[in-house]
Amino acid sequence: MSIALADTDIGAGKVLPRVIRMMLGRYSGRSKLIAGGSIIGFVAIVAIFSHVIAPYDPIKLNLNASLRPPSGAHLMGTDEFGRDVFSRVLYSARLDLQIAAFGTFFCFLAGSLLGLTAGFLGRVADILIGRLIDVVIAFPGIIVIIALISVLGVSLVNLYIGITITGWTAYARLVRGETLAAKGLPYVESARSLGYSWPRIMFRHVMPNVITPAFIFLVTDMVGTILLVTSLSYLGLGPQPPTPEWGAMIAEARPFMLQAWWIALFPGLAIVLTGVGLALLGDGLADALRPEQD
Amino acid sequence: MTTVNGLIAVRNLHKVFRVRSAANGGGRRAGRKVELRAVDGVSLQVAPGEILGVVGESGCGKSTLARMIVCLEEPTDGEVNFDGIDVLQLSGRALRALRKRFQIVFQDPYLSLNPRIKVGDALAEVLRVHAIGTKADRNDRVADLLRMVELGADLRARYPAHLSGGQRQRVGIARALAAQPSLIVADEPVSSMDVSVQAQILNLIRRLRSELGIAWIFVGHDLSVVHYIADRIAIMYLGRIVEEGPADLVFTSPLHPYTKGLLESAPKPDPRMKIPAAPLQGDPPSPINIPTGCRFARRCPIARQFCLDHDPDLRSHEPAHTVACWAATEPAAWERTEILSAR
Amino acid sequence: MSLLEIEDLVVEFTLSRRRYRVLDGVSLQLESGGTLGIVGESGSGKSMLLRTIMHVLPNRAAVTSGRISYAGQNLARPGREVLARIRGREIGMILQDPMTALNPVLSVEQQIVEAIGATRGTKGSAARGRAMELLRMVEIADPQRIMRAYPFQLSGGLAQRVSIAIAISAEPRILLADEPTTALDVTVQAQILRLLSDLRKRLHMALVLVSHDMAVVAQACERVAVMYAGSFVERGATTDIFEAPRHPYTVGLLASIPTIDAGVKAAGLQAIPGTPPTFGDLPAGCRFEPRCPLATDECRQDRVPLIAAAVDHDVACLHHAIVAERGVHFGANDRPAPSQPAVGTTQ
Repeated sequence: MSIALADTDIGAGKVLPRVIRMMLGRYSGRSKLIAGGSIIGFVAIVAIFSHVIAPYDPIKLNLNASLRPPSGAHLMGTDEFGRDVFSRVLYSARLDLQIAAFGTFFCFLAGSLLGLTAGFLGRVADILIGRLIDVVIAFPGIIVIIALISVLGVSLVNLYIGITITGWTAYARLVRGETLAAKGLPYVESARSLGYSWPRIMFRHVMPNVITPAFIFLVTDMVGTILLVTSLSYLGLGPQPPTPEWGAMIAEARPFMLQAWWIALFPGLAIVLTGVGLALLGDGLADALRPEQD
Repeated sequence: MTTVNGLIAVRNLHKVFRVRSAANGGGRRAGRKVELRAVDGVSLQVAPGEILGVVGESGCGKSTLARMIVCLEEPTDGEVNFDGIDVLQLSGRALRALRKRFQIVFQDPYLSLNPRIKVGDALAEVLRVHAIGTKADRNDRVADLLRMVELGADLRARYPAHLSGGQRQRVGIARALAAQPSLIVADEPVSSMDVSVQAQILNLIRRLRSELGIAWIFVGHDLSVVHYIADRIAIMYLGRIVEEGPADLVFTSPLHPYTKGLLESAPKPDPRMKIPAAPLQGDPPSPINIPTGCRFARRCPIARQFCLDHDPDLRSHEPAHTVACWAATEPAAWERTEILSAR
Repeated sequence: MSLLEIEDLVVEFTLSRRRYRVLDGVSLQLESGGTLGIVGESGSGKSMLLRTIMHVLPNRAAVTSGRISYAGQNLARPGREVLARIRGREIGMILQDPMTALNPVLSVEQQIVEAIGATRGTKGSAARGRAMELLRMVEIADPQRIMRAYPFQLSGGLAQRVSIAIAISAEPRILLADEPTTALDVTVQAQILRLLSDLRKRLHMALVLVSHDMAVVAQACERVAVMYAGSFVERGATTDIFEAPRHPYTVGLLASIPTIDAGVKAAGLQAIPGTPPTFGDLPAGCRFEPRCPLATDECRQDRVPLIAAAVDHDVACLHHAIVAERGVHFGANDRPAPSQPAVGTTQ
């Protein structure tokens, strides 16, 4: 029996129409990066220039204009105190992005350092830090923060403390795992055999090579931080009124959900938009930084 | 008691790992901690400027031995003497200072270099840490190092990712040279390379030895490669040296049945020769359950009862040619016992 | 008529919208029961050739021209059913690393029985019986115990024997072996090579053995093809190629292999300077020209095709007569390795 085994098709890639491929989720990392980057870029610019863009003072009361639906004068309507929702959403962007960025960054810093130390020094350091991780993870994060803020009082600083204390463990584990793997690699052993001191090996040779996954995680973790902050504000533990904050705005809008839907909707959309942007950015970054596979 | 016979003298080195045994083909001892005797009493010496080859199959302990010699692994017992100094007694700064005298080159060129450090910076770092030269001449020294391994000085600005395997291995050697060592331990340095690159690196090693007088311990599994590069060869089996002597002598007049088996098994690039007869059956054994008596007896084509009852030690058969085999060292007593039936 | 004929096969690889030629016009013929060795260094395309025959190419690679025909005439376009009938049944394949070639979560018995079921349709106790028979055929002393084992419990040699057992389960007419002994110790390598030779004669199988180790190919194959940068540079009977090579690359390869010989040791190895080209960077003319001591301007003009230099001895070199007459010398590294970037890596 005779068969010719050669055929000239280039494979499934050209056969399936493009639309179906997109539906199967085969976006390139590049498009995710661009999409996510654009959204976050947009939000960031809006946040930075909020004081320029906002048509009204976000905390000024105007009881005459209370509970107005979206219109030309008030793009997103007004709340029960007559404050322009649009301006409030804009101002809150700055605050929320700032807390999300710094809060997550502090977690990244603390967690990475501890993870690096645990993985590199091993033995006692590893055991101690490992136990610490176990203890922190045992408590549900948000409960700890609530307890902390109740005790220490409501303030921005305490919010940062709470976020950092509960959020560093994921980074520590990530970096510790990478460090353990890197420790056995020949180039680290070379550094040892060349007589380099251990701080030099740890910070100059190991750290740059293990930090990338933590950094990628940072971007996607910001989504979680934003949700955390907005949730805490919803519970009244975040920035206090009259400071506009997306979560707090949603909380304040609860009594008016049925008659003035716009007060809760727009901050909610803002949270979703920012979250999606960060998720895409994180995904795109992960794809971009991962070496090209075949 | 230290001897100053050689540049480096290793005496009675042991390394025992405690591991969980893999399920042993379904055996009942699965999962329990057992002893893995990776290196089980090895002594050797290397003279200045000498190349010692260490050959063995997987599981023989040659890599562990190499790592212990450069202090990347702590021995469970034994001494490593460098120029008369017992290296194992040192620690901290004293050890770090001595480390520049002996360096290691690894097998995998792709993992041997820090991917985030440029070639030139990596070499300069060695110079800086060990205060070799001055800041002013560091650039020149880096260029010299690259030239010594036959690379262009323009490679200093590159990251390892942009170098080929052969180039990376050369950089690894350059990095070892930067510390100005008297001894370089090379752990399978050409095993993952193509033949043409392998030849280049082997010739480079020979040149470095003749020009700089550096001694080498060359660990490998390819007999012809090790024969080509080494002055003396040690054959390892299950954590012990079973034969040692001048390279030519050991391979043209092997004394140990294992050495003979290795030589016979290796294919030669000669189409007129038949496929080797596979004189040694079975697999290289595991260092977890080391048998009593001669550890090679169960695979040995000439084994006798004497071999099961007594563990041979390395003895001189001729000057400078030692072997651990009763057939060679105690033929009379050995012959009187029964031949073991073939497997 | 040859059992397997490949004619001017071209395989291209698409990456970032550029096309790279991995196989650049490969032709060969394999007779029934014959042995062919394909020798070359990494990146030469030898593994890709085997994978193309079995049509297990990575997503981005595809055959763009040429013909492969198995046992006679060729049909227009083979469908998936045709490929399914050939793969595993008429043509079997074993890979380099038996540990990754076997499924780690299935026992040996499960994997062999699955292969038997897929290729012959046998199931149940008949399949198990056949599995035991196969394990005995590959010289496993205790087949009962090995049947129950999982790949991680096997040594390299045993795992490779199991791979071979799976590959020959349907008694294929051709066995493709991609570096079958490279990952094994030398004593085990000898056992496996001998096993392959015995099985080949017993089952009257043809063997295509790909290796970077010329010694293995010299002793296991009657015919050999030397591959460089995606095409054959020399092809013919093994004894001819090894005793009287006509391509500078072949000469260089042979001269760079250490052998246990005091003379070789004293004289030094010859080393071909530089590195093989990467697929994005092929020279316009002869692929080997940048590294060749005999290169002339003529060599840089066009691709050099394989021509018959002697009976059953093809070579792709304009100066092969010089090589036959005077030989080629590469010197022991007197040229510094050129600092070329290795753009990307190829498997």
